[in-house]
Amino acid sequence: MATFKIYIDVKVTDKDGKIHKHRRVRCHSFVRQMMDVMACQMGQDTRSTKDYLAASINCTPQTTAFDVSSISGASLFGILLGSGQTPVDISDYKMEGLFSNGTGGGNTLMYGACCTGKVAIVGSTATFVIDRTFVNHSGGTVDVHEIGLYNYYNSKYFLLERTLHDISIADGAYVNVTYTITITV
Amino acid sequence: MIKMSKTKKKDLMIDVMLDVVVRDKDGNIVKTIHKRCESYVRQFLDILQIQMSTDQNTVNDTGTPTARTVIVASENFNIKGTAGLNTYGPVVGTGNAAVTISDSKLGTIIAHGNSANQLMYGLTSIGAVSVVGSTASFVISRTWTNSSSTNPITVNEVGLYCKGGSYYYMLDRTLSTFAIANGGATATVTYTISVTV
Repeated sequence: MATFKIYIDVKVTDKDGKIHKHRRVRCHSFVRQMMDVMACQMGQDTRSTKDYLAASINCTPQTTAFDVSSISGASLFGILLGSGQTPVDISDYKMEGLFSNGTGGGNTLMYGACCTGKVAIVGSTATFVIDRTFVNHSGGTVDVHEIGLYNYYNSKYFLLERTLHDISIADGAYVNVTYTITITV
Repeated sequence: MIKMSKTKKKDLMIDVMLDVVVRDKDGNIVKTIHKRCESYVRQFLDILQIQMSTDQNTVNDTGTPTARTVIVASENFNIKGTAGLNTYGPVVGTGNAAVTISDSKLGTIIAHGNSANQLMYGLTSIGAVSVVGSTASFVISRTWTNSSSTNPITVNEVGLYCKGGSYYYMLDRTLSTFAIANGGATATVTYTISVTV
């Protein structure tokens, strides 16, 4: 039986470099846009989908299909964090309360670069990881409740996956979020 | 030790179901199969990783196999094989070796044509994404006709090949056995790809 699984590892490190918490979460799910982009690429034709602004977009095959490799300092795509707590729905097209990049107080985090590792094979499992680190210099504790994965797609941004998970990040602490994508035969 | 969250137990999957409908020359259904695909193989992750990272990597093609350099491209994952081609889209073969994560091609692919042991490959069609309840899905289908002198042709494996640049890569291989009589009998394979929240 095919198994295609995604785990999220969340590692919180305090301002002194001590690991405060390490949790592994099974993702809730890809949402509809994942199927839209996949169908578009597989069929090499135009599909209607919805970007994070709720705009209806004619999605055509793109070089950037599935691109999550965001630079640091940007909170538009790659792994993103937010404050929303509403249960995940297949039709979600954005995170509920996205944290912006910055140090300006309130719900802001400094976004590192979003990096993607190579595929590795161990036994009958193939795996690769997507990784991003966030630092809290907001001046107060930031409480994360949702993790999302956004795709940059020809100047648009699509939510591919959204998972609820609670993370508390003290001022000066940082959190490393790693998606591990696996296929096992 | 890493603690597993107790609040999020549900597995995430991109699920793939395989349906096969075999019809005789008069269009009567003689066999149906409904099963979960055995697995994506590593090339699925290879190409997904290339697209997500906007990087490049080597991926084994469906030939010898040969490791090809695949770059991020709008054509990656293209499975819309045209009629008469067995290079991409759903493909069928006679191999029956167990599936492994490193499989890069079918055991023995059946060629297109009407000579002995050949099948006529139809067009690959990819349906629209639909949402029913908490599931989003789309289907991929293809039909083969046995116009050869071989009666029947027995299929043991079904694969999903995609195009990337000038080469082809296997995304999935599933063992499934069905026989197609000659004289115009057909088999239609439908993949249903879905995600569920």
